[in-house]
Amino acid sequence: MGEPVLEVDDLVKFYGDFKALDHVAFKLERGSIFGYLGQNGAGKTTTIRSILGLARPNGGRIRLFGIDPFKEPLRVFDHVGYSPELPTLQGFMTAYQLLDFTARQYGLTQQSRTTRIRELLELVGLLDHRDKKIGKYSKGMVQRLAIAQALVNDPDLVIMDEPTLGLDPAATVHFRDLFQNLIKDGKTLFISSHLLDEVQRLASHVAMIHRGHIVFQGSLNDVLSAFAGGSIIDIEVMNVSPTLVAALRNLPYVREVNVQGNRLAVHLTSDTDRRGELTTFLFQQGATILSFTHRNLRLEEAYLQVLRTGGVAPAS
Amino acid sequence: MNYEWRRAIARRKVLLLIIVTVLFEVAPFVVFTTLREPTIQNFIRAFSDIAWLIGVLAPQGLFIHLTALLIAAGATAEEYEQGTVDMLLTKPLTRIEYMTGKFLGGFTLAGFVSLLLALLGIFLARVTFGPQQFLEYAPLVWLSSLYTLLLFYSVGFMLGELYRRSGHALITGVSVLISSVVLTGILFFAFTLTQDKFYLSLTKVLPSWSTGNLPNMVATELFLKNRVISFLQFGPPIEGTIPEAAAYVLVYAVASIAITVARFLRSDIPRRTI
Repeated sequence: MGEPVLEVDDLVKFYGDFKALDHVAFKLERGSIFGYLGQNGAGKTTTIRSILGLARPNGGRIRLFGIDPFKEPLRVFDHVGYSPELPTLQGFMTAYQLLDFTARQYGLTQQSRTTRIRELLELVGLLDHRDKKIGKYSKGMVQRLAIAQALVNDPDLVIMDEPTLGLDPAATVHFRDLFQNLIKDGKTLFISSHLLDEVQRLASHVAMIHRGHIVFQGSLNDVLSAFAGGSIIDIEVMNVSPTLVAALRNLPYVREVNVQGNRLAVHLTSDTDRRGELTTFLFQQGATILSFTHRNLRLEEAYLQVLRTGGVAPAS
Repeated sequence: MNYEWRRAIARRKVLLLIIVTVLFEVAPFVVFTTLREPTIQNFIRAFSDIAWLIGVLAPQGLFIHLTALLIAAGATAEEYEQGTVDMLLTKPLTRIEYMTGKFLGGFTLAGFVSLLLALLGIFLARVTFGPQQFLEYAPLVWLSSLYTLLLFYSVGFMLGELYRRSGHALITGVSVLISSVVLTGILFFAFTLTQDKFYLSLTKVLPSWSTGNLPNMVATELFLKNRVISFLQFGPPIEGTIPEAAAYVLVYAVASIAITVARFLRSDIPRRTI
């Protein structure tokens, strides 16, 4: 597969006494979309800022394209694009001026700047707003422009922190297609997000961070089969009792039962259809079923399961 | 540099202060042309042929240093406040290049404002009092004035990086400037009471002495021969030499820049602070 685009090894970061990153390690292979998942404050942004040299790690090793970004930032950042979470851009500039300024930083010639800026503005749907001051842009427009500026240098690796935050549904779909096209062009994407459905649609690989620890990393299929293996049946019953929940949990084909009001999310250990058995069991327990839905696995469940188990896959 | 100029000019408070400084520049000439008392007219006659010097040195007293402080305090701090520093530092740019660009960008803007004021002063002097003498020395006097700008500019720049808040940096910088002026007065008063020269030597260490007096000293050395020095002098008359004043400016500037660079290179870039 060749050298990883990004290699993070044993990364440690303290803020005062608080350990924000605790021996974080993962790799990004070329041509993949890597979803970096975690709750607020888990360490996602700190990881990104360490990779980009904005935060100085207290320990560990980072290699971008095999190069230490702290020692040779100029060589590294020629090949990296970055779009931060809730970006704030230079409000006194127009979109065109900002992209031109960015393109100059990468040493693009006047002619290639003009062509590239037009392409990018068209790509993110801001061509008609090119001469408007960024300070007058909406949040979604700023997000679009931040993604455009991350692509100015045609980077091999694009790091995006919550890239679809603030985008309307149409723009979200548009950018999802854009990200997939970037992969077709041989780029590698690192996407940090808490929008798990979005990551599930895009990512080929994921890493999950919790309280500064990486609790899981692997392919999307791996995480789904290991932590959300099987399927889920959502059941709405008239009266949920602790006895009922305990009885369900004791069933050999049930991995976990989550209770929310009178709704039960029953995680099954395999893909085998257990609807018939479950319905019979519930009737035997005297439960009145209001609704009963079988659904496919979602990253969200896998993520919650990973957090619950600390990354140890439950036995099937 | 272009970026830094545009960024600074986009800030209304910088523009406002430049306007105030221009008004302050115009004010002495308006006063001189409107006052008709014989004593004042005699006084004016004594220096009307070198009135351009007032135009060059008048902003030196306070306003140009305030402008320099305002530009410098926001140079790096506002990038942190707005979160725009992330975009700049994740490009092929070393931290030293970034800092150098920031420092020089803001300083050239402050210098440009100072140059405009000097040119305006020369123009107003010519219009108000007719042909001017010793104009060939104007570039040197202005350069010495520009050199003194380094002191408060560097201090403001350092405070901006230390606090990473432009408001805090500006308030502290202005406090340093005003305290320095006030302390000079107090120390001079102590000297007049005790005749102990130690108090005078202390005033020279304060930043306002070198910045307020160096251009006067240069002008005196070049052509003034004490004609209007007492009128233009910023603060009480405290003897000193040009190398002494130049050295104090340099020490303050170098120390401030060193602290700024050390802080910037050794610390994390914070996420948006406001």
